[in-house]
Amino acid sequence: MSRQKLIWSVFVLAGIAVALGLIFMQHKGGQEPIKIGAVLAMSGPGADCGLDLRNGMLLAIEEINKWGGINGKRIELIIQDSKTDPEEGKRAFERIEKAHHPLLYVSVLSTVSMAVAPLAEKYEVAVVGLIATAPELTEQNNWVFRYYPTAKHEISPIMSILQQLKLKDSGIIYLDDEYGRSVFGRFKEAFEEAGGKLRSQVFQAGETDFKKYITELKHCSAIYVVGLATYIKEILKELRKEDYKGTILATSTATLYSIRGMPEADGIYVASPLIFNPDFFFASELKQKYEARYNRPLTIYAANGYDFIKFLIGVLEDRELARKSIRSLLEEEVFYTGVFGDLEIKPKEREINFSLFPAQIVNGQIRFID
Amino acid sequence: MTISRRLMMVFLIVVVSMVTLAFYSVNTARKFLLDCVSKHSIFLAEEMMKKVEYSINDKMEFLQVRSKGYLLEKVLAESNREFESLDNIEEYIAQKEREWVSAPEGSITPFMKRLIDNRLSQQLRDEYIKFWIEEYGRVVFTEALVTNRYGANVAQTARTTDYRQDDEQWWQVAKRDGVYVGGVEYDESTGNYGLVLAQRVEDERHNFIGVIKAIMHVTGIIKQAELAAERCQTTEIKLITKKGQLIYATKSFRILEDISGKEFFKKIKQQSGFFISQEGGRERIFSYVSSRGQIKFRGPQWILLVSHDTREVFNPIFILRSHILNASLIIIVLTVLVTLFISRSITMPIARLREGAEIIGKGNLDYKVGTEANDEVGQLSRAFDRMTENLKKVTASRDELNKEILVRKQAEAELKNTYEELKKAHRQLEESEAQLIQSEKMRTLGMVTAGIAHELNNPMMGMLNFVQYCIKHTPEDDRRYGILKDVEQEINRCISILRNLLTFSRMSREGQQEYQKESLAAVLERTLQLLSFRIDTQHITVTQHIDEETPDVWMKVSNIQQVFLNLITNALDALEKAEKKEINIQVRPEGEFVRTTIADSGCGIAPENLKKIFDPFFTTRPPGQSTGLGLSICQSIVEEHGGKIICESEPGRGAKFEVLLPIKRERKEERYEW
Repeated sequence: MSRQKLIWSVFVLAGIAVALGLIFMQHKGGQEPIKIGAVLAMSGPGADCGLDLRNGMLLAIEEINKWGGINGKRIELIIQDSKTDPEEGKRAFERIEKAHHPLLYVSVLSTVSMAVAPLAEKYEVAVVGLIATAPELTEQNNWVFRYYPTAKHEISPIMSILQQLKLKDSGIIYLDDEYGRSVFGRFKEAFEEAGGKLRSQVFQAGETDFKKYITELKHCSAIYVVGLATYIKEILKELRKEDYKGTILATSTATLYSIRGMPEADGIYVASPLIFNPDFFFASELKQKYEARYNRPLTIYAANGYDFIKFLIGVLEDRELARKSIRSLLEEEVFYTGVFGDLEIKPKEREINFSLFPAQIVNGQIRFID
Repeated sequence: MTISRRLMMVFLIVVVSMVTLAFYSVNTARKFLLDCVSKHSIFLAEEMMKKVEYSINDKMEFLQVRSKGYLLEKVLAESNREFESLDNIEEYIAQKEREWVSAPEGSITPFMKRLIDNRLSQQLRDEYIKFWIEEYGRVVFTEALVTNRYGANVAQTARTTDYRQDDEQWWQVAKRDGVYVGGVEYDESTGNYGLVLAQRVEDERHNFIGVIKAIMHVTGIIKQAELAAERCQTTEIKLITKKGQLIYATKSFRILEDISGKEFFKKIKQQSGFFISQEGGRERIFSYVSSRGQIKFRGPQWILLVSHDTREVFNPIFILRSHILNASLIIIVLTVLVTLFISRSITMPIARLREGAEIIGKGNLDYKVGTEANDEVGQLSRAFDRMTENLKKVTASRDELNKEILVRKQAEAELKNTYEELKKAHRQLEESEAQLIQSEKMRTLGMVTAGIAHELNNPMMGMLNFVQYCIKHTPEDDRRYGILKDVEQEINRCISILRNLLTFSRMSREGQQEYQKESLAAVLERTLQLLSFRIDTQHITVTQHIDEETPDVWMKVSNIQQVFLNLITNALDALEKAEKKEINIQVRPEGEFVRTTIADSGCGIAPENLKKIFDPFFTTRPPGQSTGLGLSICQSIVEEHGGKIICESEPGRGAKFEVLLPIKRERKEERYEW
């Protein structure tokens, strides 16, 4: 090889090396990701919850991964559909466990979360119930946590509204599942303790005709509606159809745009999280981001998913990321300010509950009541 | 290196230089951005810290103002008087303390209820708890209580863990100094973490009458400041004590967690500053500021940190760098393509020029490069075509000239040949003339010699007969007998000479002789006999070495004898003045030839003459003494025989002539080539 050819070859090779080096710098590889298993209701009656929650979690994960993840590790969400069915939820859990062995799980809805709780105990892995209000969830299981208000938090603002309106007789129509029964139990206890008289009607999952229940309750000054979004919509329609004149109250589920946007929902009272306060910086920031990203209105479910992932940053940062240590970390006393306001997680309680506030739906918007 | 490679290299060097400059600029911008963001964050932290300090100071002033209330002073005065009326104050307080602590957790005893529900407690709740929530929508104080001058609770917003407070640091300091600002502590009575503030309460005459304590909600303090700050996505704010206890963080945090072992805490050295450190596996820019205090308030001795993920801060730089990189790659590719295009546009016409030059170089002057381009190469191509046209004209003229030169050269050569032929003919003519003269001389000499010899032979024969008769009749012992024998011998010698002369003259006269086989030794012997007189008189020693196997040679005897006669005569001439007088004659066969060597020890021949000695009429002798034809004739005779005559000589060392004669007679055209 002549000297000129050698110089030329070196020049070209150096150029290629520089180009490849620069390209490599742009696409540096990462470490093993932090895997979070998610048993979500992506279909069935709870599909609205699962879809919004997934979107919220993915938005937070995108933001975290964009700047390098946690401890230099990306977060990876492994989703399986529970189809809003506890048994399918268990199978979904087993599938994730077998294939991915994630660091921790999230599950959606009380019914599904209660079903997978034994598996959490069996595999000694932390499961965080989201959109799960049943008190038994954390009371009976050592590896199960919750990031959502319980029935106690649900009824607190409802009780406040009833007291302000000085209503002493009320009716309640609720779904016959863990969630509905837990809300009914707490509400009955609190309302009757406050001197109120409560009448109740319970319906089964899958029912579509609520006329008979409303007929039974139409003489009450107020009716409190408890159930999944699908049922709340139908009950509200039926109430308006029956021209119910009393006060209608509903759980935080009614803050979903699909419900509060209905004409039948106008004027009803709800327990609302802080995310609908337009003056609350964190909430308004998330609302803007979420709606821009998914072109869907921000819901309590989406905020729940988003905030849980954000909550994990401070909990997991600079800590050992193993299954046992995750349980210890989630049991520690932690302070956190997120989209639901200031949270103080008491040690060993395994509960991360955010507050709900009394509010009213007016023209599809949430208005908080002083 | 080709033009295209040079162009490529130049362009690439320019591009690489530009890219390097761009990356250098990006790096410089990164430094400026780091400096700018860090200083901005320090400014932000300072503002936030001022807000925190102002907030604490404000609440302390709030406590001071509230310590002058009528109801407060009245209740404390009553409580102090009540305690003063007791027999044993200490025992009373201790007993109440025991009752207080022993009460079940969460329960309210009647004694507690009296303290919680009195007018002053109600005022405390209104002013310290409700007022802030109702007016500002946030919790500022989580608890407030008032003790009398003995440290016993007088009023409180909720149940406290203890009844007596005089053993608490805040109480003692407030009593002593007037004001107490504590650290962040866990308050068991409220189950919250808070900042303990305490204020000494005095009456109009500045007598100590009690202490008022309030617990500030720490998160509320910082959040008020934090919410005022603009934040990036990765901005985090931390409030820590100087010992490294975490008081607040914007992400989830463990309050009062010891973070003094963290890398970033160890880098905090001064009142304020910034640095880059690792946290959570990510690189972050930390800006920090320590509390400085207000006019009367020395500050809570906290440090406020504002940090940003470097990836977010430098994201514009990374994007810019990425764009530069992508643009660089595109520019490099474009540069290569443009370079190839430009170099092609340059090298193609040049290649055509080169091709044209090669074609024209092979002689095709009709070739035209022909380009329409107006650039330098185009001008060069047109100049090249013009040059070819001119060259064509010049070549045509040159060809004609060459043809003329060639004709002239041919004529000159022919002339030269003619001259040489004439010269040769002239020389042959001269040689023929010399040979003719020599032949005529020899024929005349032969005739004269034959006449003399014939005339002398008869008397000599008579004299011989007489002498032999006399010898026959003279006794041997007679003194005359010897003389007669000598005379007989001399007569015989004379007869022999005469016979030789007769033989020579016969040969000369015969002219065109016939070849015959004859011994060279015999010819030499006869020649030496002819010259014997001169040999003897000059006292020359002649030595002969005749090889016994020397065969007879086909020759014209008289001609060869003439050769030998000339050569030996010349040798005798050369030895006339020589000191050593020797002639050495050798005869030996040599293949198909017989070599005869005649060497003398005379003066030799000068080198400049050596080449001329065989030329006709060449002589070194004075005019009239030699015709200069001798050796020339010798050469002619020898060559006529198909042989060769060679002369070697050095001045002062004699001369040696070698005559080679073929043994067999052969035709002239078959003569041996030397």
